[in-house]
Amino acid sequence: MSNEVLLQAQDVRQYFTVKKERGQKATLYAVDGVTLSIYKGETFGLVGESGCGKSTLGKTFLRLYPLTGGKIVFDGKDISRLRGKELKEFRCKSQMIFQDPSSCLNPRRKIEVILSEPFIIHGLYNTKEERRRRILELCDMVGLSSAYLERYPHEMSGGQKQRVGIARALALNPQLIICDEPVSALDVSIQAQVINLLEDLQKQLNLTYLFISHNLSVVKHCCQRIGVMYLGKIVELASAERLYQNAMHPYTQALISAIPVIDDGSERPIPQQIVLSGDLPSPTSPPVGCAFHTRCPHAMERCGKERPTLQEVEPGHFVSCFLYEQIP
Amino acid sequence: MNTVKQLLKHKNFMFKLGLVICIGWIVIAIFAPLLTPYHPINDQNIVGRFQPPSAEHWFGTDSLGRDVFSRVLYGSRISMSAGLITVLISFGVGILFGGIAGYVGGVVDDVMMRFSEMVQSFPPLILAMVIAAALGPNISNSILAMAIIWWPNYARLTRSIVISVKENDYVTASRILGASHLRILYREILPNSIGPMAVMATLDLGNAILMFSGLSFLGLGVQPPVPEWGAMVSDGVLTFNYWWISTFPGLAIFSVAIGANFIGDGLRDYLDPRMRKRA
Ligand SMILES: Nc1ncnc2c1ncn2[C@@H]1O[C@H](COP(=O)(O)OP(=O)(O)OP(=O)(O)O)[C@@H](O)[C@H]1O
Ligand SMILES: [Mg+2]
Repeated sequence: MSNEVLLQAQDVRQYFTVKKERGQKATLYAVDGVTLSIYKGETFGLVGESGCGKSTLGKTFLRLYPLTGGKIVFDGKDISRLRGKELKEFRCKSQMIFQDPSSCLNPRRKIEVILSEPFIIHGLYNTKEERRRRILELCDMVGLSSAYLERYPHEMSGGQKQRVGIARALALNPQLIICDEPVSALDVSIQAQVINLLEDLQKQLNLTYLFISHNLSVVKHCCQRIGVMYLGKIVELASAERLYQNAMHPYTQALISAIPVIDDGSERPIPQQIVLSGDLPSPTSPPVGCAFHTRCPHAMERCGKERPTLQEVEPGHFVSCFLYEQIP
Repeated sequence: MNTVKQLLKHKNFMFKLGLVICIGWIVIAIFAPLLTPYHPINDQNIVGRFQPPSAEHWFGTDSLGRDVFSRVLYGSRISMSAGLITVLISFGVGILFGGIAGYVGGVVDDVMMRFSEMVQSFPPLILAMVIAAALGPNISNSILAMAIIWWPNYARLTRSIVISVKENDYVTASRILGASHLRILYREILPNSIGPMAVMATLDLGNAILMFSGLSFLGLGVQPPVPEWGAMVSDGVLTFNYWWISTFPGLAIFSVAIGANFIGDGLRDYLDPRMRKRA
């Protein structure tokens, strides 16, 4: 990890128009004002409940949607409004690995054809042999036997398909890879293999990861910095260590207390589990004030009226909560 | 090519039977002049009319003394091509229309689907009658009328399939790799949507032939003396004592409808990965 910023998001907003019953339209605030920086070579973890907008944020960074508001700067260049040829060039620099290995590969194509796609789209390696050589190189990198190239996706296991997905993401030599829950659909025994593979590749190729997960223990293991997301907003952002030692936001505290603790006989006190009441509010009508106040054990009167902003409470540790508001 | 080979290896007897029936009728349609003992229109024989089936006239003769067997074989030319052309036009228009609506979504989708619903809300037979009556009753107009009624089914099916297929991560992956919309449509979405469409088309072939026959039955399709199965059935209905006149063309319609259904069913089984065993 260096001090150079690879991706910088400023107040990024991504809204969708959705249809409600009786044909009424509503705005869905999937990502609502996210500001963060991802440094070159780091693994940035993004955690939060299902539906809080993690995947949407990742896909927004990849410019899959027309940005509703805010700005994304990638490697010093504003990419928020790229179109056409420039957008296609940007596509080489950032890629994605998906959660569900069974839907990430076109079931009607052989693996070799799937892995040729990136080169055909971008007109790289024009002879068959060159392309083949590069594909074999990719297989080698992700630990996939070249025998699989002749297979169809349904003839492979989940872990093998995930490796193909990783190889495809690496094909264009990207700098940033969005890993959207890359292991949560896999067997526990294979999860570790894939995570190790991702870590090795990161070192070898100097990659930067945005690692999305709803599983804090996985994130703790492999991320340097972590952002906690709630209802389209980052509520806390800190280095992995600080976040686990000194979680500040009540939502983060609840998430961390929910990690199962293995009683290893040590004297460490077993933390009290904080159980959140209620469900995640609908992203089409987020609560006024602090988005979390409807479920917060420490909610004050103020929380239902004003919206807190992300503040740096110790170096590199940002929280969006009135409990830590410093009086100027 | 592989797909075709595997399809032929398919161990489904009904599917093969359907294939034999339908291909058989196409062969008959092509070689009708070589296979028929009499001319379907010119060989009239008023004296020998209403003859029951015999060695000379396998399917008997009709009210003008024409050989029903020859007319049934010749009738396949019009019935088969009317059915096939209707289904092909609807298939093409439907895929284009429904594919765009489903892929683009939003307002485009709304407008396109409202339009197809509008077309579909007419009672089909009445609409066909109106079109045939307005443009004149002949073969191409009735085929046109049928295609106009038929395509919205395909558009709606294509649209719903495309909407579900485009949610797959491999479509997103293709976008992230920088593929153009056209490439995504024909490389990723089309190959994964075409299966159910093809099933629908084969299941539909019989229906289209039935409907065309229905139009002819009502006097809106082909005009006498051209041999067409529906028109022949309607001929025979007026002279009910001579059962062979309408029974044999009726059986011909039935056999194509059944054969096409067998093919459609087999295709559906083949395309369903759970039913499919790979070598
Ligand atoms: N293309 C879209 N159109 C409309 N709404 C969308 C779209 N994509 C996502 N959403 C909505 O945005 C919200 C956030 O979805 P998102 O997939 O980003 O959540 P997530 O945090 O990744 O959840 P999970 O952990 O289940 O993957 C959800 O309410 C979802 O329904
Ligand atoms: Mg997600």
